[in-house]
Amino acid sequence: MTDPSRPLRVLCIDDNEMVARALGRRIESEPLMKWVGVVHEGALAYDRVREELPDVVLMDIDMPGTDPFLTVERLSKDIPSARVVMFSGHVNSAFIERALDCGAWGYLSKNDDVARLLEGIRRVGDGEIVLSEEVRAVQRAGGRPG
Amino acid sequence: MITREKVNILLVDDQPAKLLSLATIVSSLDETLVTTSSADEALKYLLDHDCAVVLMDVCMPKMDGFELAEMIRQHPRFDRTAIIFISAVHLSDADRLRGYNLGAVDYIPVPIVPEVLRAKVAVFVDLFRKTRDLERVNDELQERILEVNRSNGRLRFADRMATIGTLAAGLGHDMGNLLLPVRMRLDTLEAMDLPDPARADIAAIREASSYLQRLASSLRLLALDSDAEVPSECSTRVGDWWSETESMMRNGVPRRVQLSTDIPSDLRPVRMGKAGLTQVVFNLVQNAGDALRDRSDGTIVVSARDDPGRGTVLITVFDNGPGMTEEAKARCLEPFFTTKTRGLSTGLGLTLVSALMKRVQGTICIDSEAGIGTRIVLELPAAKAADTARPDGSPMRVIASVTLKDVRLAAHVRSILDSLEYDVTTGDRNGADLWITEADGNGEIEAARRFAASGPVRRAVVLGTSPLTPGDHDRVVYLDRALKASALRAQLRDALRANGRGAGVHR
Repeated sequence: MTDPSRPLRVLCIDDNEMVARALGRRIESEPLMKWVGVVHEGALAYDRVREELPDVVLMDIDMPGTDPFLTVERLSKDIPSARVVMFSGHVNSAFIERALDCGAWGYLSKNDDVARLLEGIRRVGDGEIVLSEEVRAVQRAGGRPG
Repeated sequence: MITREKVNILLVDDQPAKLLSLATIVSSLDETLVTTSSADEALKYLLDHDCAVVLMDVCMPKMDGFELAEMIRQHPRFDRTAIIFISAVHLSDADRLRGYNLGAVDYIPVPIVPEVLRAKVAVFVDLFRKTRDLERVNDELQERILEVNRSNGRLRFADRMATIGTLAAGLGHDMGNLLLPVRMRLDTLEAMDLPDPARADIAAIREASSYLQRLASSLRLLALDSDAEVPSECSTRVGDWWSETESMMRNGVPRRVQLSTDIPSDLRPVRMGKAGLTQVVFNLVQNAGDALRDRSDGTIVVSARDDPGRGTVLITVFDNGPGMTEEAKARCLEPFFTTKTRGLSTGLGLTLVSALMKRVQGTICIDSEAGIGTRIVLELPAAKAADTARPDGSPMRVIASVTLKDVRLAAHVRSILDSLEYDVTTGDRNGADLWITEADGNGEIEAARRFAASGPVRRAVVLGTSPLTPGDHDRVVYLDRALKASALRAQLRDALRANGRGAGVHR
């Protein structure tokens, strides 16, 4: 569990500038969160996390060039203090399963309410695995994993 | 493959001796010979049978051969039947001409030369047989062409649906991606100290964007593969689902058509996934909209109610359109049946609805009356109560205690338990009925056994790294902690659903 008095440091890996900038602005206005910044290329994600050591990493899935799940796997092994959460508009059971298998701390849908997204980020900081309601519904409906 | 089937040769003569001699002459052709002694008798036979050749005497009492030939020719079924007249009396050119005019293929005078008659009959039998075989091949070909056309239609439909699906999914996803920064910026703005008019503007933008958000979600639902939804795992709250998809449904009907709803909030959830439900109801609403296209007072009502007696939920789509004809009602679930212009409709919508309903073991009932409208009732199985009810049947949520040192593993187990509707506590297991713990040796599994033995419904799950002796307690389960997240989720779920029966070592 993180120290509650210390703001939660959030890094975002997303090639969509509009999403990242709006998220940064919103997180900056949260008293207990700190916006570390954004990485627009999946290939640069690992080094940036190693450098900044954020508490929570929001990881987009649909980025050109790299397999985000491999990055999640490497990060969860090498830098477990940085909890990676998938952050995507693509919600399907294969992605959800893969993400959790690779060590992600959850899966937040970009279609979720902003308040719920922030709550989700906070809960990951508190040591919970978070899944958006949409993600849980797909996970339930998708039958047995594995 | 064409096989030789015998064909019928009909002989008509009022004199038994002549009939017998005709029969003798053609008998060596090895076909079916039918002898009749009057025109009446011959007609009766022809009513039920096809004939290759009719050999008839011209001169018969009551109805003569000419009259019989005229009656035969009136019927299109006998187009292919060769009529041969035989006469000892009517042998003038005028008689022959009359015979040919009535459609005879030959006119044979008596005395008959047996070989000649046999040869002539054989030619016409052969012609009949070849024509019939050709017709059969032709019918088969027609059927094949029809089948090819049908499969082409199906392919085009599948192709079109795939294209629409991809388009809808892409659109829904991109809309969602753009709406996220809009919603976040609105949030940021709202937190500022702004004058009231600006707040009103923000509220209006928020309203518009939340409409678009719902539209985007339902576009994605429409494109999702409903086959991936396992019905038994689904539990969709109809009210919540409707508020998500309503905006898209409204967009699916003509502007002048009213769409009203009556969906109580306390309905039991249905055992069908959101994507499947969206595809079914969207189809029905669209059909209703099409039926009301030319109306100024068109109304569609989507309503839902519980049927606790049958354990189902009924979803009804009603429209006050022109209603369906009896034929349309009987055939509307058939593939390719449509009453709409091709291009507007593929005739596959209701077939798809019916298939989706079958998949979830639901039924579709169509009630339509001309001038009143059409009511389509979907009966869907209600989702079963959570599996986590106590063995005594009480719906109370079971309290689970998780004591695992690995932070992420603990979080993952809590998340699984939460999805299985357990109330999860950390630490103290005294108030819990399920304890998830870890062990590295046989000694530590003893605590789990003691826990399970200490209450009638208590169960324990032990996560470990080394192979352990299976617990002799049927309410203690051992799972390998090195399992991948998805496998652990599946095994834990199965173990807990087994409800204490036959649980042992799961590796």
